[in-house]
Amino acid sequence: MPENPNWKEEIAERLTGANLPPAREAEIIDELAGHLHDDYHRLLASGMNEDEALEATLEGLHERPPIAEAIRQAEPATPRVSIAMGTPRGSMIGDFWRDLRYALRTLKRSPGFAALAVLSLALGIGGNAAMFRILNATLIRPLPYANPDRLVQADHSGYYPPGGLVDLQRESRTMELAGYQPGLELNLTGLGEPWRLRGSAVSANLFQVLGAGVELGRTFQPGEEDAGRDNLVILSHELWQDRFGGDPGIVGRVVMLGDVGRQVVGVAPRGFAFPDSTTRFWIPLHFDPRDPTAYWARGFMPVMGKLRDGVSLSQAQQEIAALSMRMLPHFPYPMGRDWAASMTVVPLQQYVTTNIRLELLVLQCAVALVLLIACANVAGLLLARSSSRQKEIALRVALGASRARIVQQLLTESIVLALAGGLLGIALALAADGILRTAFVPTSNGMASASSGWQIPALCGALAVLTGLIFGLAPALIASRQDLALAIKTGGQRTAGAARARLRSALIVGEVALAEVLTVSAGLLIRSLWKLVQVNPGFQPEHVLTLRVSPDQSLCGQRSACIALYNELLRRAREIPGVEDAAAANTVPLSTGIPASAVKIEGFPYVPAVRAAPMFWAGAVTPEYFRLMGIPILQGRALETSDSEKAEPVIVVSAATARRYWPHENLIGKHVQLVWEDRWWTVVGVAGDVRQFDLADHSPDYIRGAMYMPYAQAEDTDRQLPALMDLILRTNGEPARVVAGIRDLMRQLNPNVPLDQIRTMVSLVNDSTQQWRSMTWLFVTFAAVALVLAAVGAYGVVSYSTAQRTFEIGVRVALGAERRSIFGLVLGQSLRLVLAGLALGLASAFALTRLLATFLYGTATTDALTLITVCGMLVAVALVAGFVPARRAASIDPVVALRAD
Amino acid sequence: MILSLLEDQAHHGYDISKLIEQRSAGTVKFRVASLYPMLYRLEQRGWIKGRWVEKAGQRRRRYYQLTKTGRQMLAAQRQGWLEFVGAINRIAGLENA
Repeated sequence: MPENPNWKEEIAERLTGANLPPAREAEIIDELAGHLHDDYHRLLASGMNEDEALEATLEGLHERPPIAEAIRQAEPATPRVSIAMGTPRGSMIGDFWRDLRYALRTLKRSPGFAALAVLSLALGIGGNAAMFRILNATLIRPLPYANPDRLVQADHSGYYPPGGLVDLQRESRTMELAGYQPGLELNLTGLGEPWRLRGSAVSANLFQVLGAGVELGRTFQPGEEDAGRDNLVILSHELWQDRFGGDPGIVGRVVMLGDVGRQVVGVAPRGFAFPDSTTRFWIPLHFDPRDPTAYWARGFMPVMGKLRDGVSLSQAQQEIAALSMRMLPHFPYPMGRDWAASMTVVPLQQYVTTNIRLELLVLQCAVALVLLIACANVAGLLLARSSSRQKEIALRVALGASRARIVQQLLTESIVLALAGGLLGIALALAADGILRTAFVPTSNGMASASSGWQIPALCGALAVLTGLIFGLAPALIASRQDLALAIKTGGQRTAGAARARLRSALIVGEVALAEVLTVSAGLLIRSLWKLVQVNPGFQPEHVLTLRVSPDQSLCGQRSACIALYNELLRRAREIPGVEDAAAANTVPLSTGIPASAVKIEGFPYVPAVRAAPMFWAGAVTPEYFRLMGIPILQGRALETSDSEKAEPVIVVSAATARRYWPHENLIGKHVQLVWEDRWWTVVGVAGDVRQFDLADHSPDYIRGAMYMPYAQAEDTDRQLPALMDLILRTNGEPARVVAGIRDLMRQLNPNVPLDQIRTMVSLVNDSTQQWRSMTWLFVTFAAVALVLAAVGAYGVVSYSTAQRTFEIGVRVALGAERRSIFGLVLGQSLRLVLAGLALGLASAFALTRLLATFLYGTATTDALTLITVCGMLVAVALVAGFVPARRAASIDPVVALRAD
Repeated sequence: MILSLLEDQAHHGYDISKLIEQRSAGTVKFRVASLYPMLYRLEQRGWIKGRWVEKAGQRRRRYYQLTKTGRQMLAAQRQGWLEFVGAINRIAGLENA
């Protein structure tokens, strides 16, 4: 027994708009359903299969005028149900439910359309919600300090030595100023395994300037930076909990930090993070005016402050430049006037987000474009549907529905779509949130740490309603404004619908243009990434393992002790199975360290009164370093074991440094001096250039060159031998096996020295392209979505307009037009749409991709290959989108086409 | 036409459509979408009257029967129709002559 189709639903659908009293409607549905049932079974009995019988039965419901209208005319006039906005509340809600049910029913009937619309909206909404949340957490939400809008940071070359900071604190009338040294690392010892901790040395008033208190104890007091009074520490809440078990009696205890006994004076409140969220302790800065070199030439640090009441930012900016100018004579070596003149202050929030602001804004623009494309696409789809429902709408208008009522019903449908998209968007946003945050959010200042679970759903909901209104309104307005008589007479086909057609075409052109902007961006990023992974970093990363060895600096108080430790470490490391060679360096390429020293260069004229001394990247390496890293020596010799502590100081410089300072001379035997020293270092060799900072070679602009000192002779800015070194091993097996051996060895040599940051050079190289990879990956995703949406949109427009032109095409064929020319006609329509979008998109891409310039490497924003490829892709999209409708059009049978109406 | 079908006995809509099809030997077919609006109009005018009838083991059906007004209308329309056909025949006859 065949299953009966749901006749009542079929009839109910067709009675929409008849506006019958519900009881009467039910009666009619019942009666008609009985008829269809009988008809269907008679047809089945006559030998038809179920599909044929169903089709033939439903055929009975097709008639002009449509059944709803005919019945409406036959039935006694019912009082018009008033449906305009502003009618009694009961009817509004009733209307809404009816609209909702109707919307769900219509969407169920075209699942393909609904799925496509929901998916594209979900991508747009979810992406925007995730991105906006991050944007809000970093760029918009005020920093988690008291008076965040009054906080400023000295910027540009905004670092001061301790003496400069004290000068500023004393002289400034516009700001309360505080200095801090970020990223200070010290070992916490005496509690079992040594523990490497990141913290910050800060001026005593820092907590007060930030308006922060403590959870236990007190903050630092004025004068506690002074030598002899500074052996104090404030612990972070996390450190207090993790290492001291939340001991309530912690205040007053002495802990060994950096091999110095420091008294705990306080515990910072939970969540307090300055300068960044990895900070576990704060110690006072060390001020000692008796040592002018230390006081004025070393320990340059960032300075932040709070604007005093009634002071504007520009007043503070003028003052700090003037004060900096006045402190120039205090420096023990010539400090450039440009250093002081460029000094300024910027809002703290702007300062801490400098590095990511552009990136986040660019990504936000990209997801906004995706959402726009999704909106355009769904608007296009809705328009197409509304034109096939033209007659239904016309009828409803004829039956007395007001325009507002029609718009309301159509909008309900688009909002249902958007809400479904929003719901899926929540899932997508939550998934994307984690990825985006790890990729793009810095650890600074506890940003994005306070995550609230409601943000994403709320954002998705708001975006959904908003987008539903945006993409639903225009189609709804156009659909509701139509020529009744014409629409009813022609039954929805061949009505010109000029406004609708224009809007749809415009939507596709816009969609293609937006998709092009995204695709060009993705293309440029792919090109950059490709070039970046091809870059020769200047060393051979394969089979190289690095481990950071971090004794406290006090170990190197005796230079010979440190030299002996590393000599012994290297000698015995080479004996570990799997280790081929071992070297040590104060930093490895592509890690975050920047060991910089100000230098004077023999024979290079610079004017100290105008410009500050040039800074060199100053490596301190053991002799095996060049060999192990595969860095070629281009001229002269490498460093050797004979370049010992007692020997004449020598350096090797990089090829770029040689070109910059001695372009046409033999530089072997030239001299370089560290600004705080009297001795001269002799250049003995030139090494190949190494990408020290990142693969794209974005070194800070104050770094003018690179030099390598033998470890035994080296001095850092504190005039000490660097204690913290990277152990670099060339291995011939699994690096992990070697690590255990090195740990054992280190425990034997000195159990108080932690080993951390164990990485292979290959992973460092890969990590250094991570930012590019995430950015590229995101843009490729966006572009792919955009292209698919544009293709679907173009296909929709062309195939729909082809269907509407069936009659016209039939006439053309009847009059002798060739199939081929019909095919070309339709394909041409698709091509024209895409080409118009292409032209518009090219112009926008030129304008917008400039934002991307800072993320590109070795690729111009007008890169011809990328542009040509993208144009090719879009033309391909046009051809694909046009092909199916074109083939369909070319196979139109004129007889059928002309009879169709 | 419908009125004449209902002259002798009440019929439901499906019956009516089949009877018309049979009596016209398939020349005249009514679709659901036009048959029922017409029945409703006739009912509205008071010429026919529908009522639901439930028979055991069958779905309920709506049977239509002629009202008194309907019978008068039928008579009047038959008269008018005969006159119309006669007139056409006369015209056709004249033309044939």
